[in-house]
Amino acid sequence: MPVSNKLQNLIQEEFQRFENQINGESLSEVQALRKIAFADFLKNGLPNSNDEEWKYTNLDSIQNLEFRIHNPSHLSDKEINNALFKEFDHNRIVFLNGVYSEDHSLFVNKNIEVVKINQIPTGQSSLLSLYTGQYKAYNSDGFIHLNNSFFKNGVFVNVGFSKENQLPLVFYYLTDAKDTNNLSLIQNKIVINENATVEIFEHFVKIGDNNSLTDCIFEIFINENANVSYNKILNEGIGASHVGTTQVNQIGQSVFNSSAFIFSGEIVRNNLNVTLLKQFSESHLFGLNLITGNTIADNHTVVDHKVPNCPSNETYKAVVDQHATSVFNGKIFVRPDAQKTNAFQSSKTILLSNEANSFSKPQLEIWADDVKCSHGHATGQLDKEALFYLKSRGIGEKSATSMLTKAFAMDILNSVKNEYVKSYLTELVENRFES
Amino acid sequence: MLEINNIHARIGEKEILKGLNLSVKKGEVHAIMGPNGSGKSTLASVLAGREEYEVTSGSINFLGKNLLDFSPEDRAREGVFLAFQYPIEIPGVSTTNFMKTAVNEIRKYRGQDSLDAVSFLKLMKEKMAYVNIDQSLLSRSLNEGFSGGEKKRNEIFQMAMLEPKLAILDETDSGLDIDALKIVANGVNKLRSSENAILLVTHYQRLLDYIVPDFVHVLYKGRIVKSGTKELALELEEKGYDFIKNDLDLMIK
Repeated sequence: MPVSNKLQNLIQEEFQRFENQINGESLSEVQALRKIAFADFLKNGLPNSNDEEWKYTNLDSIQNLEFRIHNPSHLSDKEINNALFKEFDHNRIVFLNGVYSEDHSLFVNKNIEVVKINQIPTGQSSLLSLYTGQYKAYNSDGFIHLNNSFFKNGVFVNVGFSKENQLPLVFYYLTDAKDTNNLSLIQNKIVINENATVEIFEHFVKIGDNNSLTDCIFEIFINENANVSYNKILNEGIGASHVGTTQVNQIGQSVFNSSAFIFSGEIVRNNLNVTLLKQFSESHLFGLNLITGNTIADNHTVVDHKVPNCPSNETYKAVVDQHATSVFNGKIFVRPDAQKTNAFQSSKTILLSNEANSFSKPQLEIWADDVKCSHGHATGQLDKEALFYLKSRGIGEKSATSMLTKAFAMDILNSVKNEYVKSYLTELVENRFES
Repeated sequence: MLEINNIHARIGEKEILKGLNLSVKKGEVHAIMGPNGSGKSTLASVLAGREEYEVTSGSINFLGKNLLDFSPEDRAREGVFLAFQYPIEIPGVSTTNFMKTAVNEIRKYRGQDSLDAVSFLKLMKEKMAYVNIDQSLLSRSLNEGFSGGEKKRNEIFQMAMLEPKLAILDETDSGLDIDALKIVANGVNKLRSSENAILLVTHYQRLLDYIVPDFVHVLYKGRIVKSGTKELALELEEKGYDFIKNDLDLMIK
């Protein structure tokens, strides 16, 4: 039995209410899935630090907060507009407190189709089940059960090949935390069709001083000859927690690039699973945690090589100040058939204070014999000689730290292909030491 | 300009400077020579404020201020410059960006406005000519993959950019071939003026053929044991340090 706490109790009450709300769906396939998920949730509860996968990420600080699920957003158009990228044209999908907002979303390109998950015609529910639940192979904790229990808010997106200029697709998750603590449960599916090339961003923004918890599942299916660049930006500030799972299924021969930036927040857990299902596909995963205060930023990755001849590489870096904690857990599976796999993993952390923490765990499981796999992990401080060199030219402590941090983070920033987003993130890195 | 008074300094438990005195006036070039381990680089490090070195007693007065009160960055802002024996490679930071930050932080300290991009580029172009350094080198990561000569030229370029009142050149001649040495020395000579002073720390007399000092001091066992003019350097070159060592070891015993 899970330990009783406010969050747990709230979820139990809300699920009863949620079930009563759903008219005419009580016998549907989706509702059956929800019920199973909720039973699992009741059995196991939310994870705690006895769970190996949550050893370094303690959830205590959020479990006794009073949340409201999908509290109606009172964000003004101006507030919403302020949160959007202005510097480049893009397609956008906007969520307000966990609920898809058709009014604020915008599709410039015609090759993007969006259907709300609860509006997928019943006859096509097989379509949904075809594209659902791949992540369960790697993650099945309380946050997944919770998300599936309330599986309703989210969109099913289909990106076709575009002859016109393909603009980026940005998912904005805006939280109105001005009056109450808000809990959002969102699950999106996105299918990238043959020959499509697209940049996808997930951008999380909290407005207001109350707390938020966003539990997000994002599944990407990449078809033959498609190329996807996927970037996740988590910089929601104090009181914002996030538990997200992104599942990438490279079902066709394809290229997948990802970068995750965690710059602030309370507890930020980012799971990224990549399953390589077609030969000669490749995956490149990057991540940067630039954190301070009491932030816990936890990247868990799985790269599952199921077929031969795929290269994958992971480069995760962290700069950790004050009492913050950075976690990297990287699993690589090389299945028996996945000969000629080339899998590489590296994580490097710089600690800027004596109270900062870094935990790093590589887990490689290799069943094939003709493979190249390597991993390396290092934790250290800023190079004292380099700092002295900069200072000896009149550069102060803050600027010197900022310059060396930016230099350390440069390869991760360079993994972002979009120039505007890259300079937006670079500026955040540069300004990090200003205040 | 610089008054070093009975300085004692150590690294860890090891005392290296044992009562060093030196007085430098503006417009002067002083050469500090001495055998390995005599404390030459320690002196340079103590002046620049390297933290590993602890000054246990004595004082250093620079333009009327107690230099030991200042952090390394504030010493630089007050006008002290150290050309490193082994310049540090910093991947991801270009020399241009590095110098821009340095110049502007120093200007801010002195209550001056930041240089705009155009003025900065103009200043850089002008100073690049001192040591024939190429723009492409300055756009690259600081010292990364630079040859020994390029690194030393970059040090003198930085000196030209920052226009220090006191420049300490720590073994700037080491690792240089004769052509590179001439370029570096030439750059330093152009920067010599009646308003600044230069402290040359070197093993060999060779550098002093190109940068002619007003005074030569011999540092041995943490103290200046002999001072003279440039002729002293020639004598050392001819006889080696042993002639001083033998005399002194007898005296010290």
